[in-house]
Amino acid sequence: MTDYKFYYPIQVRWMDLDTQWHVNNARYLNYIETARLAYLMHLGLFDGHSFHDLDLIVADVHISFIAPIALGQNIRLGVKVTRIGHKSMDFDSQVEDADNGQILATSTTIMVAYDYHTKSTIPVPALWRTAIEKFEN
Amino acid sequence: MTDYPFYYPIPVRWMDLGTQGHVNNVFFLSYFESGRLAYLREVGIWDGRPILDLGLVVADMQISFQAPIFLDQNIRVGVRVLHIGNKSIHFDSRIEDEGSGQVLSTSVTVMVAYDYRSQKSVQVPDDWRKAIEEFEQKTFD
Repeated sequence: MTDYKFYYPIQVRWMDLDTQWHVNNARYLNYIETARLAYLMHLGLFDGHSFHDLDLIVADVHISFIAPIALGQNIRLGVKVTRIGHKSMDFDSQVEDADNGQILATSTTIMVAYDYHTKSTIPVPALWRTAIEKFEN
Repeated sequence: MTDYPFYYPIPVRWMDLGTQGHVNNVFFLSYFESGRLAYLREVGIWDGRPILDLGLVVADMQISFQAPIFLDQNIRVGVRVLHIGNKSIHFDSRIEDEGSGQVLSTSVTVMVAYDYRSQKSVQVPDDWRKAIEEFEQKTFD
């Protein structure tokens, strides 16, 4: 069982379901994204509105869909950073049932440090590295 | 350059854009999905209506984001089947700029044949395999 220091609850909405009566696969990425931004805000790395100063862009995503999510389920997302490179970071996320702990999906997202003003990749800011290392120990 | 037997044009909608001015990463999944489902309709193994019996469910997906997509771009999704297993079908797809051919994103998606009534994975039906092989003009082991 992977341990996360940060969990974010997600409310499943009716519009997240598709014709198959379960949460549509693309919504999983929505959940993962929402939790990732909440993680960054929790660490004080993003204020929630200075979007052009949010120096990250998604480069690669891998998701394993382990079980379907139904409308009445209480779910939460675990988020942690597993690697900080020169210009990129790996975020590990897990969608789980908040009541019984069942793992519903796992994901690895590679985010690249990116300057939206100059539209180019940049080294991961030292402040980010320090804040994440401190939080993740 | 990979060749796809099927391309599906996608109009970029304003609502697909995020705060960063480009298409949000989640919508890439939606584009791949639309392309994949259009492929299944084209091949003739699905009529486009909700599937209550035998269907497909997404098991695994990997996406590489190569370049941002903007509102004024004409894009299309190329779709082909890479592999048909006992219970799974592997799709390879690519989002590209229709004008320049620039590759914007690539994806491999594993779908599993699934009975939505019993909620269990099942074998890929022979007629699906046959229809895909005919469309792709190749044999899958």
